[in-house]
Amino acid sequence: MKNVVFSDVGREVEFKPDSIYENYLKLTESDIKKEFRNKKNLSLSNCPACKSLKNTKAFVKFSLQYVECQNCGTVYVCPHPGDDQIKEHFLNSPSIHFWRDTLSKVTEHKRKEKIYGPRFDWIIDMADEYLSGTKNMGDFNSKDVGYIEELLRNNYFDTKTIVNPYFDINDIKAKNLKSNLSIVSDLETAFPNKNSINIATAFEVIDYTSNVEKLMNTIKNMLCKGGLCFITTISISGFDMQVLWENSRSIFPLDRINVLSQKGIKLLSKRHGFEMLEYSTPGILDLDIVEHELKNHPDLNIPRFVKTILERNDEKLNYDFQNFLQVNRLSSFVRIVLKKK
Amino acid sequence: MKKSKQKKLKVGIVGYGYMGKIRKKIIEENPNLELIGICDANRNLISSDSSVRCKIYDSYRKLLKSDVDMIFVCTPNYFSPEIVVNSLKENKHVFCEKPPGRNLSDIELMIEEEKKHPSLKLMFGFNHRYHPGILEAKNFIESGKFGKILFLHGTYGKSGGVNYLESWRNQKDISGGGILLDQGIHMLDLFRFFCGDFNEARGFLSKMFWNTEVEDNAFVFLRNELGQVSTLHSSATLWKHTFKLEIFLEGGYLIVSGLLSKTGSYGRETLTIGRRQFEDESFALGNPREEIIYFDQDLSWSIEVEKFAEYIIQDKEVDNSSSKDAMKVMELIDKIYRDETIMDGHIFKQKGENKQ
Repeated sequence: MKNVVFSDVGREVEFKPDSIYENYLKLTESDIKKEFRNKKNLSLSNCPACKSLKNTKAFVKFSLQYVECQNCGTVYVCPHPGDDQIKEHFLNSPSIHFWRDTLSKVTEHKRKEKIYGPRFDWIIDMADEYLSGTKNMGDFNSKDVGYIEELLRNNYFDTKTIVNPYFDINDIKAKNLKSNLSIVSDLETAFPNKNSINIATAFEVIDYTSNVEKLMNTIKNMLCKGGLCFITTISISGFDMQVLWENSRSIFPLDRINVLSQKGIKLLSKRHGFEMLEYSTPGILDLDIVEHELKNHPDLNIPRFVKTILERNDEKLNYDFQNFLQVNRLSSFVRIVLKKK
Repeated sequence: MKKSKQKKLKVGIVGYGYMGKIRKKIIEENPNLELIGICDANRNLISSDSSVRCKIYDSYRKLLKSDVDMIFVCTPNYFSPEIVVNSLKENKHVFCEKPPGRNLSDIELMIEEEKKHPSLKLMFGFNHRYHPGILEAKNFIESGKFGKILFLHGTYGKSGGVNYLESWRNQKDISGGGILLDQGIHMLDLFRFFCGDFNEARGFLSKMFWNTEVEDNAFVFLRNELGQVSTLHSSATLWKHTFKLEIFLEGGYLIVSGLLSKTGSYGRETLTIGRRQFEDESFALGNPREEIIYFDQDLSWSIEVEKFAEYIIQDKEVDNSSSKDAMKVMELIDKIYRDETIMDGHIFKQKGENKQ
């Protein structure tokens, strides 16, 4: 199994400019509290990674309870919102409109350079290595219109299928980019299309998917034998998550209702019968995220050792530390490649 | 690996030292193979191993008379040619460890016999071709993303080793050569794996430190008709076990460093991919963003054996680690040995230093 490490540097603020991101969080909090005022609309669920029912309360965010799985350490919202509720939030809530109209526009350039570009390089490198013939790809549960636009501009794939989008597809149609494109509105409709794709992508999707089991089953059924599934997600086993825990600005509903542990990710892929070709944590922001939080909240209780590192204010040390996290798969940003057996 | 419904190929191993033990494990894991006999001049080596379940032979000729389909030759270099030739004569497929004998005459002898048995398969143990870092680099190069290869640098070395001075590997009549033939041959094979044949070969060989009959350091320069140059430093005095292959291409570079091995002494196996920066890029030239791939699992031994079984089962021509590959790499080594008489470590002697 591969572990890929990047020698790059980054700043959280490039992707989440402070004041704008704070606004987004406030709006999201307000939306979630309204949308889930009645907790009876939520349902109890088992761990999205390992299916265990044993959990303990972790923390509350925006009125929703996060629990920690006692088997694999995955942190997730329980009781859980349903797929329709999540879709409704990502299609129509004021916070999402703010994201699309303001935040995503400010960070568009950086996202293309640091996220979308390397993402395609990654898929193409692996597909060239493992697949031959036509490249039929399916993207699942995406809410990132910017990424989908870039995908539709990419000529590497012979056919593209957008499955269960969490954005208004008219946004795509208006851009007239739909060459070789099919759109399947939900997982139930997509499921019977057995062996129809050889590349599946689910980028930061598990994080907000209500039924991870159904998502993985659909991907597996649609992939042909030997087909590849590319997943990125944020893991609770990563450095900034472990240090900041409930104070992490990256964990909040509904963007992240499932924050899988490293063990959970491996159990999930194994249970669905995939071979894991790569498990990497090529994150470049962990230490910067913690530093940033500490600057904004000097009273934050974080381990003394981490404070010592940050107080040195040494770029080389910070780079080496982040590199250490990547080499040892301890950054919170995870990317994996699974192969259907 | 799929479970095969077909009849298993019966396997015998000749030589039960370090390599024989590795081969036994890999053969037993392969669903297409069944280990039926092991032979070693030192019977105790086999009988003292409680994991051995198959028949033990005192003579490889007796093993050849059994119903084995294929023979793994894991003996010192001196013995390999005779065993390979006799195995082929007995209608057995043969897998022979590197090096393919001690010199050109040895490999020529084996090829001569191979030609008489076109239905039999003969393969040599250049397992480094199947290391994950090498395979990944090969795939990357073949994708054409970085254009053509310009040159390669290889460093492969160790710190002598346990019982280095007493080892048969340093007795010229048994081994045929020193560190270049023993370990450097892998890197030369990889140079050919990436660049094809080299028509020019030069070298400096030295006995710098160890008091042995053969070289403990080799500095090799190769060039092919395309102008691609490869340099190798093969050494028994690196003190730190080292494997590093640097491949420079038009659009960037690839570095395979470390080797997944049983002891892990060569360090974690990694492939570094650096993309060449261009003049119009805003960031500093000469310090490109790198991607480093870490590998966790060495499947080289099993891929190699699986390939050999596949050649036999599917009756395919051996197109990787073949006798032709073995011949070509031995031709390079022959040129290098002829190019440079081994220099004794006279500098140290003059200073009166004690060599071990």
